[in-house]
Amino acid sequence: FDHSKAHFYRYDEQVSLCLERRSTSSSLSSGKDKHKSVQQRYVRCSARAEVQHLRRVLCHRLSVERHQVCLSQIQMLFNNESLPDHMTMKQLWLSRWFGKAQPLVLHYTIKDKRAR
Amino acid sequence: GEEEQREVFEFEFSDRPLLPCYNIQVSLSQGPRNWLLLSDVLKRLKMSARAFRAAFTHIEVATIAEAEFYKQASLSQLFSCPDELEGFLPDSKELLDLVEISAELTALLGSSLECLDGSWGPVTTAR
Repeated sequence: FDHSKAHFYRYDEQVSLCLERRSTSSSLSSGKDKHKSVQQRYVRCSARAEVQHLRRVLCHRLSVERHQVCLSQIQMLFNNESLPDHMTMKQLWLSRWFGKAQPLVLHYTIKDKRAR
Repeated sequence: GEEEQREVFEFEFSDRPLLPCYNIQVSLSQGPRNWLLLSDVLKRLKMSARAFRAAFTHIEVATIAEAEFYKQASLSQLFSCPDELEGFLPDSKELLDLVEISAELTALLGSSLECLDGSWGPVTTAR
């Protein structure tokens, strides 16, 4: 039994998420909104991953799909509540989703650059 | 690959709902790991068990008694919805086949993998 790697994130409990884009009023008015949703919206990751990690990966993902998005533009929401960067997926699950079926539905917004 | 030797956050992305994943210790010689039910994988790949084993001889298939599987899975706080384990029998001695989640398996299932270094290192994409 090799304990040296037992702490690796890949051996953690995993959470299953569904990421849905929520429009901002400025993106709706600009008409660019529908083009910036991530194509693969179902995500699985370690329960120790934090909101900031998810934001970073989502930003990269959108960039791969040729959307020009900065990390600071992306905000993660549960319902209409903005989530703090250091909240882990397990905290989020236990405090907001306990007793519900997978996947946990999270929203994200992409703020317009000019609106910042 | 290199990512397998480092501690990185792995994010699996899919355009279809992900198969249920179970954090289970299948033997005393290794700690808990993340497994999919082979039956779920076969259904998604539209393959028979025989064809899967023939095509992917290097992918280990582990077995666990259904009762033990149920016991471990039901301890997870993330399986708090009763519906998700209702298909399993808590006292069954039947054996369940499991396959461990890996980069190869996620690619087979049509997912893509993003790896993120915990210290804000570069993000890499694997397929």
